[in-house]
Amino acid sequence: MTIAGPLLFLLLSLSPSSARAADSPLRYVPPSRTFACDLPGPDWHAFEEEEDTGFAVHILGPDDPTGTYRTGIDVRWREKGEPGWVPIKKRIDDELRRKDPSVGRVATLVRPYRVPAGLARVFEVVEIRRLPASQLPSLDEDLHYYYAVIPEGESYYEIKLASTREEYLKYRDVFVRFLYTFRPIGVAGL
Amino acid sequence: MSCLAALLLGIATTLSARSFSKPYIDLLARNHFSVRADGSIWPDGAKNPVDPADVPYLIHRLESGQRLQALLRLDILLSKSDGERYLTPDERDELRRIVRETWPFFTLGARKDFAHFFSLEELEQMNRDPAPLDTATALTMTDPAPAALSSEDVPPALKPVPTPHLLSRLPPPQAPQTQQSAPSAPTVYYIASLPLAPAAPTAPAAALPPAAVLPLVVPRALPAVSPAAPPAIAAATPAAASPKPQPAAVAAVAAAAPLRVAAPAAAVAPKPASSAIATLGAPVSTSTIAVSSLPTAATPAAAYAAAAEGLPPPVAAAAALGAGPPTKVAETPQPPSVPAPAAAPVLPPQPVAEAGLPPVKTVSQSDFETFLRDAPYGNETKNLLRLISLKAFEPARSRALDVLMNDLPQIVIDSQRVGLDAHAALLAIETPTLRAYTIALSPGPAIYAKKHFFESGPAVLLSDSAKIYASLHVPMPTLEALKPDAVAVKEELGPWDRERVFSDGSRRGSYSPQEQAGYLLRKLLRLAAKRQGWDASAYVAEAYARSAQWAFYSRAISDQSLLDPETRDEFDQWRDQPDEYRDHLVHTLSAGRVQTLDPRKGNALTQRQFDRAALQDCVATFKADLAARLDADRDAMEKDALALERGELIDKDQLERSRQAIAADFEKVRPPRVTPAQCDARYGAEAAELGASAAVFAEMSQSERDARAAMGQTQ
Repeated sequence: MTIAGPLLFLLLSLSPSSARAADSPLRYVPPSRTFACDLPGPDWHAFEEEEDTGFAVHILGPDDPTGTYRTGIDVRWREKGEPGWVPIKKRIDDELRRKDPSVGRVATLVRPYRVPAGLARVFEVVEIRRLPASQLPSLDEDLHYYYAVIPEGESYYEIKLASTREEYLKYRDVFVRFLYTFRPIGVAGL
Repeated sequence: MSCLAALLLGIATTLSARSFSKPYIDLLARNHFSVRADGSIWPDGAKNPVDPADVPYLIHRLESGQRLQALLRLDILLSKSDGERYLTPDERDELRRIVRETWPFFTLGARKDFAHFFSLEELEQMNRDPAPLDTATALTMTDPAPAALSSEDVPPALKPVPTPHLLSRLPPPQAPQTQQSAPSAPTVYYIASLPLAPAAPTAPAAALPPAAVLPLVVPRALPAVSPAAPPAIAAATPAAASPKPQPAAVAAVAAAAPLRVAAPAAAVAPKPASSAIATLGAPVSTSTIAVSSLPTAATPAAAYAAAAEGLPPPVAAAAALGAGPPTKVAETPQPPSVPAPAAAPVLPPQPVAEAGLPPVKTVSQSDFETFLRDAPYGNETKNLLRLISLKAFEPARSRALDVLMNDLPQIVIDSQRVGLDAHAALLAIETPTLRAYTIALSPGPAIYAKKHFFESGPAVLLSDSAKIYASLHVPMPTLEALKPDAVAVKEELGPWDRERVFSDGSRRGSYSPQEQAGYLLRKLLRLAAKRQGWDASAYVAEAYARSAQWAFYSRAISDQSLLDPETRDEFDQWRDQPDEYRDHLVHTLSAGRVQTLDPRKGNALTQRQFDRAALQDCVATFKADLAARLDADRDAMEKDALALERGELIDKDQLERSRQAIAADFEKVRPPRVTPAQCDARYGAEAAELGASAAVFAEMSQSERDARAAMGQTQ
C-alpha cells in the first residue's frame, strides 16, 4: 500500500493564497507559548495537554462521515535534552515512518518543503484501525496522516494532520495553509 | 431429576411477578417494597411500580443481600463463641433464629451446612420453600426498557433531561397498558444538578412521561400514566409498616451488602449534594429504578456518565435538556415537553475541593484475599478480580479494589447486557433508596463478513442486543452468531481467539480472562471516578482508566495473542508510541459516534474555561450547548445505522428509512426551559469539580512512568 507520489507533489505545489495576519480572529497561541498558528476555521477547536515528553496541542476539526474518527491537527515541540527527544532523523526514519504490518502502516518518502517556520520535512503515513474500538458495530478504517517536522536547531516541531483516508484529500489544502501560518514563538513577524 | 424440576418450578413460581411466596413478600417489605394484588412491586412512596423486567434482578439483589447479611451475622456469632460444637444455649438459639429467617433464601449448599441444627420435622417445615438457584434469576433477566415516572415522582434534585445519545438509541418503549385516553409522551430522563424551570404548558400533566432517573444503555418501558394502584397485600405486614431496627453490626452488614436498599442513603453518598447520588440521601419519597450505563469510555459518555453520577458536564446537561429518546411510546398528540417540578429548588453550586483526587486507601493483598473469600462473586469473577489485585499498578489498583469492596457491583458475563459496548459496560441503578451497579463483560464479539463471489465484504463486529437495532429502526441481522441457541459448525483459532463458526459464515469470538480482567479494571475505575466525584470530564476519567488497563496488561499479558486485535493495537501503541496513542485517543474519543470528548470544550482545563465563560450568558450558552448536543446525538444514531449499511447488513433503502425515523424521533423532542439561576448553579458546580482533573492526569502520568520503568523502558 503506497501513496501516489503525485499527491505529494500536489501538496508541495500548493501555496497559501495569503499569509496569515497576526491579528487574525483564528490566531491561536497555546498556554505553553511554544508556537502560534491560525486555526483552520471557526469550527476547529484547540487545547493543550502536558505529557511526559512535553506539551501537545490538539486541534480538533470536523467529524468523519462515518462518525468514527475526528479530523485534527496535533502539534508537539521536541526539545533537545527533554524526555523523549531523539535526533530528528532517527525520529522520522525509525519512529514516525516505521512500518507496522499489524496495522498496515506504511509511509511515503520524505520531501523538503519550505514554510515560514523553516525547512520542513513532509511525508504521509497510512494505517488501518478498527473503529470504534470499544463500540459496536465496528469496521476497519483506513487512517491517513500528513506529517511535517520543522527543525529548530536540534529541537524540532512535529505537526500531524490526521483524518480518514476517505477524506484526506479534502484536508491537503488545510494542512498546507496551517503550515504557512505556523510560527515558533519569537520568530519575526509575530 | 424430579427434585430439580420441582425446584426450578418453585423458583419460577417464586419469581413470577404475580405469585410471590410469603418469604419473598416479607423480604420485599423489609426493603421498603410492597407487593400489590396484581403482583406488581411498588417502592414505598412511589407512584409507579417496578418494571416487570427488573423484578428478577431486584429479587436477585435482595436475596443476595439477605444471604450476605445472615452469613456475616453468623460469622460474628461463631467468632465470639467457643466453636460451633460448644455453643451455649443462647448462642444456639440465636444461630437457629438467623438461619431460620434466611432459610428460604439459602442455596442448597448453605442449607446442607446448617441442617444439623434442626430436627427433621423442622427441616420438613422449612424446606417447603425451595432453595433458590443461582442461575434461576439470571435466566429470567431481560434488558430493562426505558423507565418512566410521573412528574411528582421526580426528586427535586433530579432534573428532567432528554435522553442523550445512548439513550436515544433505546428501542421504542412499549405502549402504556393504561387508559387508552391518556396521552403518552416519550420517555424522559433526568439528570441531576440542573434544576429546571417548569416546562412550557404545552402538554397536559397527564401526558407527562414517566421518567427514568438515569441514562440508560438498555431501554426500559414503563407505563406513561400510572395505573390505578392496586391494594397492597404486603404493606400491612409488620415489617413493611415499620422495619425492625437492626443492631449496629447488622446495619453495618446491610450497608456493605450489595443491596443497599435499607442502608441510610447519607451513609453511602460521598458526593456533594449537587449530585444525583447525593440527592439519594434527601428525604425523597420517590423510589425509582433505572438502569444506566456509565458510558464507557467511548460513549456519549460525558453526558450519560455525568447524568448517572449527578455531575453532568455541560455536554450532559445539553443532552439532558434536549435529547429526548426517539421513542414510540404511543401516538402523541403534540410534541412532548419535559416536565419540571413547579417548585424545583435551585441548588447552589456546591463547594468542591479543587485540590485534586481523593486520597487512595491502599488495599493490601491479604485484605483483598480476605474480602474475596466471602465476596458474593463466582469463581470465574473472583479469578478476574484476583488477577487485578495481583497485576494492576498502584494507585489505580487500590482505587478499583476500594470501590469494589465498598459498592460490591454485580459482575456478569453477558453480551446482551453489554449492549453497544464491545467489551464491557457499566450499568447503574440509582434511586433514593437503592443504589446498585453492574459491570457486564462480553464473552466475545459476533463477527460477520458477507461473502461475495470472489471476495468477502468488510468484517463487522456486531451487538447482539435486539433493542439496539430497534432503536435504530433497522431489522436485527438474522445471523446465527447473534442467536443464543445456535449451534456452531466448528471451532477454530482466529484473530478473536477461539472462534465458533456457524453455518451462515458468522462467527463468535472469545476474549481471554486476562483481557476481560483489563476491561473489568477499566470499568471499576470509571465507577470509582463516578463515586468519588472526579469524572466531571469523562475524557479525563476515561484516559485514566485506559492507562491503568494498559499498565495492567504490561504485567498480566505474557502472550500478545491473549488480546483481540483492536485491544492489541491500542496496547502496542500505548507501550511503544505513547504520543501517537494520545493523539489517537483524542481523535477517536471525540468522534461523533463516541462523544466522550466534546471537541468544543476540549480537555478539563478548556472545559472549565467554557463553564466559567458560560456564566456570562448562561441560558444562551446552555441552549446552544443543547442544540449542538441534540444534533450530535442524532448524527451518532444515523452513523450507527450507516455502519450497518457499510457492513452490508442493511441496504440503502433501509438506511434511508432508518434516518427518517431517527430524525422524526428527534423532532418530537422539546427541550424544557432553564432559569439563569439553575443554569449558573450547574456550570459553576461543574467548573469547580473539573479542578480535580489536573490531579487525575498527574496520577496517571506517574503510574505510566512506573509501568514503563517496570517494562524496562526509559523516556
